[in-house]
Amino acid sequence: MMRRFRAWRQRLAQALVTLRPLILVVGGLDAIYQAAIRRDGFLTQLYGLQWPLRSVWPALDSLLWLALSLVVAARVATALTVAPSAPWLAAASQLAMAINLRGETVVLATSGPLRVFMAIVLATGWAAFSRLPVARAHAWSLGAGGVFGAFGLAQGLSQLRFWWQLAVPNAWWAWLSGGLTWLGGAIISQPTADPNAATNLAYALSHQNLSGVPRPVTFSTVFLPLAAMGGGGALLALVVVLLLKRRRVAWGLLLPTVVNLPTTALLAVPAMLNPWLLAPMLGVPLMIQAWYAIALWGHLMPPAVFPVPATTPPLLGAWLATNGDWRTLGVALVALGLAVAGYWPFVTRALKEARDNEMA
Amino acid sequence: MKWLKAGLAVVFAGVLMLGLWLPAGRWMQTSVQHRRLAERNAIMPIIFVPGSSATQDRFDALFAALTQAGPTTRAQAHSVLKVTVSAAGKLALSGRLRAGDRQPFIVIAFADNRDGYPTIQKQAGWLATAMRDLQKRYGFTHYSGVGHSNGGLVWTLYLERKAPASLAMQHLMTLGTPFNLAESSRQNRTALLVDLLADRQKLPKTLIVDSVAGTQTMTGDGTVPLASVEAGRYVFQGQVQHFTQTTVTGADASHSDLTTNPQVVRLIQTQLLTERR
Repeated sequence: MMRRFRAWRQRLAQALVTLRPLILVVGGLDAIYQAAIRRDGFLTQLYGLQWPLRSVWPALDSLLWLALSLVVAARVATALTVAPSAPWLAAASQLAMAINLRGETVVLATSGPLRVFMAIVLATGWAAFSRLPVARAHAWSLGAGGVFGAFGLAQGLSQLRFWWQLAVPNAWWAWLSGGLTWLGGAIISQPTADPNAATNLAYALSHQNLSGVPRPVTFSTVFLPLAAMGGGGALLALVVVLLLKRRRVAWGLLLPTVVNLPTTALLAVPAMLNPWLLAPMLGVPLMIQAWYAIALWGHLMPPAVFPVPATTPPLLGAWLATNGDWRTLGVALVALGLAVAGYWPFVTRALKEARDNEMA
Repeated sequence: MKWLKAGLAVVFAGVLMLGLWLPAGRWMQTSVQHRRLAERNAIMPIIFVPGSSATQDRFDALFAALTQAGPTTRAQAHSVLKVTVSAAGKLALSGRLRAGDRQPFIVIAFADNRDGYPTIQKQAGWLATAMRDLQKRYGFTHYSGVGHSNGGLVWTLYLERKAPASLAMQHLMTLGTPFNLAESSRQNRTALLVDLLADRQKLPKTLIVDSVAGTQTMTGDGTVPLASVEAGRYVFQGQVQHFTQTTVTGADASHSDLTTNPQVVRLIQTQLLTERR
């Protein structure tokens, strides 16, 4: 079972590597859309950018991801099976999922990056189908139904992420977010819905000094916009490690990861489902959250109370969320250092394994 | 080659600093400043609702008394806005709120001001319409309410049935409000009191309520029986944060004089006119 998973993952990774240029282009364009065209984008807000055709841009972005997901579905199916029908079936079912008769996109495929994830699931399913006798194909379709059901449930729950945050303490949320990122579904959320954030903001607006903020250590003062560097799993640290190791792919990942969109790195490295990267994706956000909590308890920095756009670059975001307090920048730099150190040994092993596979 | 690379790095860092970091810092400072300003300018009005047969001018004498007793300069006096809601729910506004006045007075009166429970129920709906409009217009989130006579019933019905969560009443003062209408016996509960008791759990838990009764005779203020005012205890006690029942006596303690009774003026001044947030 383990061996089959490893073989599957290797083929998946190889298929994704051949699509790398396309993934980087889509990721880069998406980053520009999210940060500079969307109304709540960081650069849109900062420079007061105005764009014509407001309603067209989201559709274009969505279309871009759909196109990528079709290519991924076909390519991954080709890599997994010799059956000539599999890539066509994978792409066709991926397309069918994006459209339904009511003219709305299907719930399962609403978010662009998640479409690509679904493409991988579908391609795997069709590839497996094409090799099976009829009786086992029925068993597989039941299994696939289970996967879809579980995924739909996870998606539904992620809509309720605000309630999750209330129910689960910070540490668990970081684990959950990191784990889902590793699986390919990058979940990150806004601090505005956090009631503690509202309490803190109300205090900050009526007081000049932030030292008496009522909830100094809470979701919005340690996780967002601080510990979630580059989105769930602190993937910015991964990209920095790849930069330091002089991997050319890192340059292409810089733009999307700096605006906290982790999907491009997940697909292009590919970091998703890489066993070596599970531990840092779960552990590093926890570690830097702990560091921020220590820094807050030790009064090394004021709490991050002012909301910033989700696409604000990590270090800048930490500095802005405290209304330009330089101590915060120092603390955030240390956090980035810790995260890079946390990722380093695992990335080294992952790269070594990839090299060994290439040679074999 | 090395020098070229180092030079490029320095130029890149400089461009990033000037093009992104500096504007970002300035943008954040401006937006925080704006938010602080908005917070400081937030108003907390005191909203007055008159009783049956009374118009939007019902509280003029009270406002004059409050101004006389309070700050004397015109700049410090409370500005007054009067609103009359028509039977169709249309608002007629007169007067205006002065900029910088953090505790303005607003009167909400009703064109249909007949006595009786059916009208009071309708008035609670009109009050909700007016409150929605005023909140949209002036952006306040906290306020205090004063209700004279049936005006206190309109407030209570509004709080139980219509008040949105986004608008928090901090303090309610009812003046001679007959919670059991004209009934002077505790044993006989009118339909109004039964309804008020049924929904009393919906009253805001943080609310502070003062119920003032006037007594001209031993049993009432000449219009409303004391027992009917005291029935308010069954509605509020144990539901809101604090409930205080006060009885004023003396020359100006008749039902219609309650709004200018010196003790009532002092109560409003000490309980409602000190800014607490």
